[in-house]
Parts: sequence; C-alpha cells; structure tokens
Amino acid sequence: MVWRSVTLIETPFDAAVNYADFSKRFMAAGAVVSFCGRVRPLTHKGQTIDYLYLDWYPGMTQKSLDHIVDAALGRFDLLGVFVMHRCAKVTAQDIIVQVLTASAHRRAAFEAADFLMDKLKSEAALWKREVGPEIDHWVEPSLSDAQDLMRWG
Amino acid sequence: MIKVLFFGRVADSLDLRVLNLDVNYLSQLCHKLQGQFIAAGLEMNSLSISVNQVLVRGDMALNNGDEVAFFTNFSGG
Repeated sequence: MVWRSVTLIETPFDAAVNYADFSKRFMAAGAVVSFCGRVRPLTHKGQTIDYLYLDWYPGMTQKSLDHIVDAALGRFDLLGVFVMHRCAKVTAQDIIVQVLTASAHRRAAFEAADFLMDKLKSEAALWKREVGPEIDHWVEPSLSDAQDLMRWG
Repeated sequence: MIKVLFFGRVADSLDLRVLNLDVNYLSQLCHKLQGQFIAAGLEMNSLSISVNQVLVRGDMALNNGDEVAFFTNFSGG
C-alpha cells in the first residue's frame, strides 16, 4: 500500500515542515522530490496581484484531488505521495500548492511530481480569481495548461 | 426538492451561491435558469454541470435531494 496524504486547506501551511515530515517518513527512498507553487505577484500583463481567491466545491474538490493522486499512483512506481492545496484567499507570494513524491529511483519521483502539477492545474475542481489594485477577474484555463496536460496522453 | 449550487464566475455573475427548486429533469432545471444566466452574461452551453458531484452531459432525471452544480472549467493550481 502506497502512503498518501491529500489535503485541501484554507489557511497558510509550512512547506518546510511538510517536507521534513515526508522526507523522514521515506528515509529508505532513493528519491524525494518537492515542488511548491507560489502565487505570482504580477499577472502576465504586469498588473499587481494582491491575492487569489480559489473557490471550491466542498466534497467534489477533495474527490478531484484524490482522483488525480490515484492517476499518479497508477502510472508511476511511487513509495509515497503528498499533495496540499490551498483554497479560499491566498496572498501573493504565498505557497498555493505543495507536491511531494518519494520513489526508489529518481525518474518516477520527478515525473510523478510533474504529472501531478499538470493534472492539478487543469483537473482540480477549483476556480481562481485574481484580485489587485487594477484587476478583479476570474481566470480561465490557459492554452498552455491544456498543452501541458496533453503531454501525458 | 433539488439543491442547486453555483461556483466561481457563475456564482459571482449571478450573485447567488445556492437555491432550491422543484424540478424533475436536468433540462427542466436548465430551462428555468436560462433567463437568469442570459441576464448575467453566462452562456449555458459553455458551463459544466455536475449532479451529486459527478460531471454530467445531456439530460437526466433528478430525484428529491439531488444536488446540481453549475460552473466554468476548472482553473486551479
């Protein structure tokens, strides 16, 4: 049984503590990969972002995260996987998502983290609003996100 | 009674998160909401719909206590 932890959380979290706990749990693993996604302080047009608001569907959003992790576990030879994703208000420069993977050899851990992030960007049941001094709009899925997802077939 | 939920841009545009309606089919529900959606600048055809937290396409019968949600494509992470 592969160890897994999948959490949707409304408040900031300590990614260093999560990494330390995960790494300690998998001391015998040959590879531990850690990825953190942060809220960029600027839009692609250079407008200031104060915060994101991630709307979520209680129950369904958690199920979508679990489903994404199921897909990763079915595809990569992992010893453990950890996903923590923020929802509600997320301030610029805060960590919005953390993905940790552990495997016997590096390739599976690297690829699984990459796969998980591409899936989370497109298939996590979340809706993102960018808010700043000049902006307040809902973000539509991007073409690049769709292209990233297509890499996995 | 059917519990109807709205998320993201849909909730924002409608200024509404939840309502309860007495309908028997999904198509009937969509028909009832169409005017509000148009007034809010939302195209019903471009929205995703879930019934009891499962994405659906096309018409289907609804049962008392079912939960239907309307939202745009996901944009997480």
